[in-house]
Amino acid sequence: MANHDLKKGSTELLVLALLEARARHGYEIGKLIEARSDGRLTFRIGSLYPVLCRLEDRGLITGRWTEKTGERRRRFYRLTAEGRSVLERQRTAWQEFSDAVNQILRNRHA
Amino acid sequence: MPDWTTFVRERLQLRNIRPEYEQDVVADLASQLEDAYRDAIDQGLSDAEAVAAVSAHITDWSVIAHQVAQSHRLAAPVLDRLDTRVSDAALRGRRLTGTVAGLLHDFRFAARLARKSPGFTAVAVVTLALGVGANATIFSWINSILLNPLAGTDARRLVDVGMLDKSGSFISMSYPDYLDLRDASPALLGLLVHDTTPASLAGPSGAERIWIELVSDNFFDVLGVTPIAGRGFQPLEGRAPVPVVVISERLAQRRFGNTQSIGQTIDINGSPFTIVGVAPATFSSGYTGLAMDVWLPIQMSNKVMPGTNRISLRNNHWLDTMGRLVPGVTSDRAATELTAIAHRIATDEGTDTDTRISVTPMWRSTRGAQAVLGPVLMVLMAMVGIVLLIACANVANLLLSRASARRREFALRLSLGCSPSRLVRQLLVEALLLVSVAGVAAMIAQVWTGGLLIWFVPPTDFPIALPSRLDTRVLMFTAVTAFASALIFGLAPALQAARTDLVEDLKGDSNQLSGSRRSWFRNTLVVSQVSLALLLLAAAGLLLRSLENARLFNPGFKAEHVLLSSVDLFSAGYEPTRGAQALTRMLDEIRALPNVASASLARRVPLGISTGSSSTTIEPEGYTSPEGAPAATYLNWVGADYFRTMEIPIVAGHEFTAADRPNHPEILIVNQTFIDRYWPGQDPIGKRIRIGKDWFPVVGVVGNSKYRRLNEPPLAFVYLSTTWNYRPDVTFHIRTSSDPKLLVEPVRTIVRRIDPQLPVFGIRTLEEHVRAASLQQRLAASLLALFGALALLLASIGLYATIAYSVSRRTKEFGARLALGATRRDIMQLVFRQGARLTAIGVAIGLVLALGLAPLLSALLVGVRPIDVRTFATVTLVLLSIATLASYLPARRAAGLDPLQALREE
Repeated sequence: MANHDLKKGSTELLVLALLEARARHGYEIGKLIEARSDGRLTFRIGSLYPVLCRLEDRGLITGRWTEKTGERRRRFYRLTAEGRSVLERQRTAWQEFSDAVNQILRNRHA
Repeated sequence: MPDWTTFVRERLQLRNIRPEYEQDVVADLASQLEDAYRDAIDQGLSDAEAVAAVSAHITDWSVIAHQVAQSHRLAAPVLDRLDTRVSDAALRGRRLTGTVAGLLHDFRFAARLARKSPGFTAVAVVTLALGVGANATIFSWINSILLNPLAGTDARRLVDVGMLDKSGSFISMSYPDYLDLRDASPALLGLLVHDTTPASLAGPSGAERIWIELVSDNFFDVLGVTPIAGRGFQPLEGRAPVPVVVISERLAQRRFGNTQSIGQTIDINGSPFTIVGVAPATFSSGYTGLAMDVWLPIQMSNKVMPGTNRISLRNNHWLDTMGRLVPGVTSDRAATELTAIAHRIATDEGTDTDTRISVTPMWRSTRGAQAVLGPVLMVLMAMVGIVLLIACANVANLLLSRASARRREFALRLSLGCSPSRLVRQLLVEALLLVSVAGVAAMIAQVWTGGLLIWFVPPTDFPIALPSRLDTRVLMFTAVTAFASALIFGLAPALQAARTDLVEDLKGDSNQLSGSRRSWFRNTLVVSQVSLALLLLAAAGLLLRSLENARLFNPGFKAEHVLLSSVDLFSAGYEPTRGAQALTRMLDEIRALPNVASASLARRVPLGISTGSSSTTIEPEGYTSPEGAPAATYLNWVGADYFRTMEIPIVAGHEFTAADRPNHPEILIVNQTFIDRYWPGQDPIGKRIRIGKDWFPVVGVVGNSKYRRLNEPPLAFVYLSTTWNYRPDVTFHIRTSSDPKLLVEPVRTIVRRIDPQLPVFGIRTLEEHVRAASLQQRLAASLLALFGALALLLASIGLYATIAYSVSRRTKEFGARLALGATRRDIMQLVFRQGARLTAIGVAIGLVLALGLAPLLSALLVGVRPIDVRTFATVTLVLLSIATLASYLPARRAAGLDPLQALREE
């Protein structure tokens, strides 16, 4: 199911969505995607890291080294204000797009 | 558990990232990998299995490295990159090795590229080799004539010292004045005097004519020349006549077969001289461009030169002077100091106190080859510089075209992490490789072309030596020139390549903006080429017209059908009375030869390489000069029938005749300019002129002629007769109705019959002799014509390439135009107009440049003004027609396009 091309186009959206609630560190983001998609979507660190880099570059997320009590220092990424508005726009666009796609796919069965 | 930071560092190679971000990236990746590892351990995997699982997270590290490098936030600014390279001492060694390795790699790549496109490489190398080679050649001439005028000497702070009279004309120095000056000046390390004269050297197979340099005893010391055997001269030999001689290595080899000839004697003009030294072969003489055989102390001058009291008379000015400055002393200071000393001497001796001493660097010396060739060489150097610029523009143009073709390659490299500066370096290395090959070719060619200068020197009586050495200075100059050109033609295309627009170029589409920027640059190149070519052509045109004028120039006498041949009775030991008789007999027999129309003799032949004649102050009867400056004139000593033989018209009175006798009162002949200057509107016949102490009547006025240079202003001239003034060193002038060369043997026979020991020398026709006067014009015109043609060729290739390139870029557009109804004529005009516009701008700029710079050529021009409308119009026309052809070819191709095919063109 996890078609490569589809995954590629939506990774940024997924990362932004996962950071909406709170800041997370890099490995956590990958684990969460896997968990929430019931293992259907998996991202290796090697493919996720450049996405984080790119998003940070565009100012949609920022990373910061944080040390939580009893844990190692990790770099936590959180959404910026701009990231939040981009996420909103992309979420709507995705919704509309997938609705449209679904509609067409369903129509064929009808 | 592995150390994940080390794990990442070992695999991830980040380039051009700010150091602090590099830390960040490594730590973040390591931290994520550690999380993954712990996760795997938690799931029950063994340590090895966990490490394997983690390794699978990142399979291709270079992709990460590249994507991280793409991030603008992380990338270090260019200056920082340089900074870290310089400041990071710990890394410097490693990086430097890296740079060297990188450079080697660049060179290998460049060499591979050059081999892959041999056509491109050949054109670029040949173009550059022509440009660099022309520069190397002219520079080697400048080096041997101006920069290092006296080969084999220590040239540092060597200066030409001259004495100037009140009017600023140059006068030679007398020996007593020299002795007073030489030790009196603290500004000079040494002061020497010298002069040259031909002489006769007795040999086993008859007398041989040689050239002697008479020198002061400190000559070799001041010049810094160490004899290869024996010694130079000693102070005693400067005070009293001692028959010693230093000979050239050439003469030593010729005469004795080795240089171990110290103590042997040679016979000069019938007197024995003991050889005390042999001068090294590298040293030819104290005069630039002349090669001497023998050096004698000045005290021995009465043995080799006519006239008496050369040593003791203070008013006998005959010596040339050179000196070496004390380090730190300027020429001006030395001149001031020497002038003051000269004044003091003049006051003490009661002689002329108005003389000044001038001190000039050797390259600006008014004597020797530098005076004749200096101005020409300067012009030529400027011109070859321009040729090189045009050549560079052409190669830059070629590189730009290739850079366009290689844009995808550049974009790919940049996107794969190659930094722009690395790309610039690679392209500069490519340029450097081209120019290195060209430079080596130019060097090899220079060995041959350096010797070409002698071709332009006509046959003379002088032992001309124009050495062209491939010394370190020439090598350095060529290397620097080549390197500078590589920067000129390589940098612009390289910088443009580094500005590649990744996305557009990877797609293989032409970007509009950078496209127009590129064409702007190319257009500028073409315009500058055209304008520089026009400048060169204009200069060449002016010089060619000067040469033509020089050829057709009426020097005031008729040079055709005259044979010249010289004898020197003084060297042969003749007394004046016997000498005069011998000359009369020879002349009588020559006149009796068949086909001889008339014959005469003269001390000096006009318009040679050696101008010889110098100015003398005289007093024309009834003339008072406006500013108190004495009247001056040039002199020559001529025999009977001289003017008839030379075909110089007699304006009034009569010329010297065979009926003149020494016991008659002495008479003079003057030229038209003399009359115009000193006796305007008066009848000159019978008027008198004072020369020295006595007054002489003028019996004839003759037409003006050129005496020293073809482009000299009219000179006042006085002719004295050899009847009253015996000259042992004369040249026969023989006018014939047939080929003058046919007289050579008969004349030799006559002289041999009268004196078998007397050498005849300087046999040449008057035409050949006069050709020497146009040496400057011939040298400049021949080479400028060559360079002009080269510039024209290069510029038209540049224009053609630019138009052709733009046509190839606009193929689609032309296709569309044709499809939409444009006629082939329209397309042709479109392309044509582009070429015409560039040419017109170039021509306009070139004309402005030429108008501004042409006056610099004035000194070389004969019979043509620097701003010559005809020349300028002609070269403009030539350039326009060549340019038209250069844009016609691509225009025709554009017009011949098949619209369908053109539209489909990628």
